[in-house]
Amino acid sequence: MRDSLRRIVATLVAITKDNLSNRITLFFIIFFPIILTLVFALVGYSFINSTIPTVYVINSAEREGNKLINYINASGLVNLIEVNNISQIPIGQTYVIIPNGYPKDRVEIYYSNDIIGEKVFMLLKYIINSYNSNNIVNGETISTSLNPISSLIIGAIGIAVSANALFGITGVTIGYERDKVLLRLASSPLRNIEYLIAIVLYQLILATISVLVILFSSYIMGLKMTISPIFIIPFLEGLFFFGGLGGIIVGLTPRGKIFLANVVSNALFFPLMFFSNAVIPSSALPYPFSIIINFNPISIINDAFRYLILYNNINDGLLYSFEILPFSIIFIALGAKLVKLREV
Amino acid sequence: MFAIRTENLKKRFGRFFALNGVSINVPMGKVYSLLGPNGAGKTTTVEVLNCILKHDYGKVQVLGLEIPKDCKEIRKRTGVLPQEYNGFTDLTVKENIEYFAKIYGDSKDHVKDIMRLINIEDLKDKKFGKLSGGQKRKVGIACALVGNPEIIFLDEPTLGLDPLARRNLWEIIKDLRKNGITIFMTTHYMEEAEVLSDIVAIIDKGVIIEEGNPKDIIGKLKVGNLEEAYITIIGDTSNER
Repeated sequence: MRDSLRRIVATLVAITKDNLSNRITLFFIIFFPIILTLVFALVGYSFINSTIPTVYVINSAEREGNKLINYINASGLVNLIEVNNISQIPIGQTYVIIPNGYPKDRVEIYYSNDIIGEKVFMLLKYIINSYNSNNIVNGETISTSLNPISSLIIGAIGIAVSANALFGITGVTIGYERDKVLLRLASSPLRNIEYLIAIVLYQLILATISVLVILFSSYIMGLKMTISPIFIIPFLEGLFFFGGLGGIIVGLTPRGKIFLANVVSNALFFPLMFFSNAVIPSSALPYPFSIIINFNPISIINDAFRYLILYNNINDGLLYSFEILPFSIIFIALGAKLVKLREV
Repeated sequence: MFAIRTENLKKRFGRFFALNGVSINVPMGKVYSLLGPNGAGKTTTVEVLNCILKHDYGKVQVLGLEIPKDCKEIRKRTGVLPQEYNGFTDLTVKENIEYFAKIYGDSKDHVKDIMRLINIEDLKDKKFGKLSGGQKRKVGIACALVGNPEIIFLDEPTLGLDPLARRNLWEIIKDLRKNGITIFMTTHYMEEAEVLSDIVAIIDKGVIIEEGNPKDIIGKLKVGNLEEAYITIIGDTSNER
């Protein structure tokens, strides 16, 4: 057991040192997540700016409130969605509360403390005051640093974790096969399982660095996200799912044609990335695209991350986690069986 | 006791027999060279003896231990330099050798001794990827020496090296032999095999077609050197086909 642990730690240190000084690896674990975060944030901001803003409304005033809602809707300037309570409102979204005592009592508008939130607030205030010339609006900023862009940033985390897991295992294995390192390790006392554990732990390091890079980039952009410790569950599931997939690809690729593993990984990963809910919510797409997106493993991992990080909703976060759990177990077990240093 | 012993060893890839009844005996402390054209079965033999490939038929013993039953023990007691070995390119020479020392449970002091023996102390802080071909082979041999192996397998150790680097490596192989290590080597260079080997075997199409001391083979065929002997033997077998 002690010998085994020594070999695992030595291999992990060697692989990590060898690859973390490599510019391509550094690009994938540091610059790629930064680029992803920036692109996702820019896409999010331009998307929000170029469309009619969605505003949630809780109407406690019934008839008078309905009249006001109809008036706001008729303006065509905002898209109003009526809900029964605050828990139904996605985090960071602007919402309006029409109190029971309306029009005697003031309409409350809650908006995010950023340029988009302020724009929507000003627009709503203008529409509502034009309906009733008395100033009946009271504005309040939402006490969170999160906004809808945060949801997109979580998509970047999902992609970074999946990409690091998949390309971590295929990239390292292809390089070491080419350089005959695997052949040398095969003739050493290192066991298959020890090599696999070392390489999975290496992926864990890569993915952790990438997630930290994304969170730090988001923090610089003013998006402060707090991570529940339960985040580790979908995080490991994502690693095992895509790491296992990488192991299966490497294991099924004939020796001597190992470079094909990279081609297959790219061919699989990029469609999965683009047809996921990382950028586009599945509800925004027509059938059957929405179904494809919903069943995409990257989408499921993203949903789990979103519930755990954005909404602090542990139950739903765990529900999405359990959806992918069996596949993660099957993939990592298959990968472990197929990644072999030697026949004997 | 023989260092290596195989009886009627067969290894098949699909329908193709890479080894078709190889029987060899390598005495302890000798240099044994396996010669043959590309695809003859040299590397496959090395990989079976290294417990990497599983053989389909025959009996294989290394240091009196059975393959595949005793592979764990065999791996601990043998060292290997694979063909065109390129190591952990972004680790230093010292880090590369120390890594294998940890895998084999060897000490850091022995790593220093090995570096002194192979004469690579001045390269210890250089990255493996920045070394010349000859230097890489030297480091590869240093890695193979970790764990005090009783047998070292060298698969084409001088392939692609300049004449000076090749001669340099020959001296290292001679020193290892003097230290009592059995060396099992594959090579394309007949001069190398003639200078270094106690026994050479010529393999073609997975079958050993000649085996013996280089001088005896040269004398038997009445030719000037091992290269001429090799051409005569391989030429004969090609004509037979």
